[in-house]
Amino acid sequence: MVGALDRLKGLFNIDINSPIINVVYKKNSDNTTNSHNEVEYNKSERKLDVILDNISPEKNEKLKPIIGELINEDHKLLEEETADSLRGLIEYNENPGEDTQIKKFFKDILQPLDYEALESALYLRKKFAEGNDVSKAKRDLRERFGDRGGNIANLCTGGYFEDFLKPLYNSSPDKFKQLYESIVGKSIIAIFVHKNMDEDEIAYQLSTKITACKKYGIDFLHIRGIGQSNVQKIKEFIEEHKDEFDFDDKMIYESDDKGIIMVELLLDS
Amino acid sequence: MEEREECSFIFTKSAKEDILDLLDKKVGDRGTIVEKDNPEQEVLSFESQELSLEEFGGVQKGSEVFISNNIVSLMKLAKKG
Repeated sequence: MVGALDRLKGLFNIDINSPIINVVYKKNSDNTTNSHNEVEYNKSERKLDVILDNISPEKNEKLKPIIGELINEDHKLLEEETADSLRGLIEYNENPGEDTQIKKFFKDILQPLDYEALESALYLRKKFAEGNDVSKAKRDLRERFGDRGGNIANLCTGGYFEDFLKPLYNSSPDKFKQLYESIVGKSIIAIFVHKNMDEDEIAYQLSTKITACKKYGIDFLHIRGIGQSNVQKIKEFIEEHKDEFDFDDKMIYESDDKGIIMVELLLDS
Repeated sequence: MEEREECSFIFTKSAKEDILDLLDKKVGDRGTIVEKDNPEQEVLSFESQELSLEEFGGVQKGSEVFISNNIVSLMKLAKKG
């Protein structure tokens, strides 16, 4: 039986004996040279480019059932960045490494949607640690789960699931249940400063979260930032406002090479 | 049983609308993907959500199951293998 790939070769009269392992549907605008060819084959990469804007309308109509057929043959047809992301996620799931423990721990503790967010947040954290741009992944979490998704991403990257929530659950499941919503829903234990956050917003969050932490018997609050401008913003804020807020002491942890700052405010609860 | 050739099929971001056309879909008035012949009919992702052109990440088998490029959706897909 002739498969979809063979029919594709037939449609464009491609006489290639070596295997094709990548078919890329693209436009002329994707190429650096303006090709008039319908297809281009790269032998070393075994890649076939199908240049869609060079295909006649008649041939386009013949291409349609072939596309349908390749999907029916259980091939995925993916946008290239999506394909990269999916590949990365499959590799990660095959070997989550240290994340296995935290996933196992929280799987039956968290509500299903929060656990879904945590799984993606753990992957985001891994890619961030590897130096990748994770801004889309973070936006995706916010888009899917609102502020809660963003909070889970930030808390996960900050290590709070391992270092605070897990020990809290182990010491007192009841206290965990009491505090969980405030921590994950409202992020009361940490302020994550971002580029669009001004001084007034930091001050507002600081004031409300100090009050919330004291109410729940939490004796610390963190202010965190990533990137030079956020680090600078936090340092300036702490210096200019140190007398205004009700905390006992502070510790500053900074990593110049990673561009990360964490200010730990110790609270008299 | 005939073995399926191992080959990946991808498209560039700029080719998204052309791919939709090849699948007899298009971007509707609200910016979401709809059936070309019946623009009232929204095309839903495998999570039964509407998809914008920006979110459109691809298609897989299952009566043309559309894929969102949101990381949460892709994580679900990755877990299925």
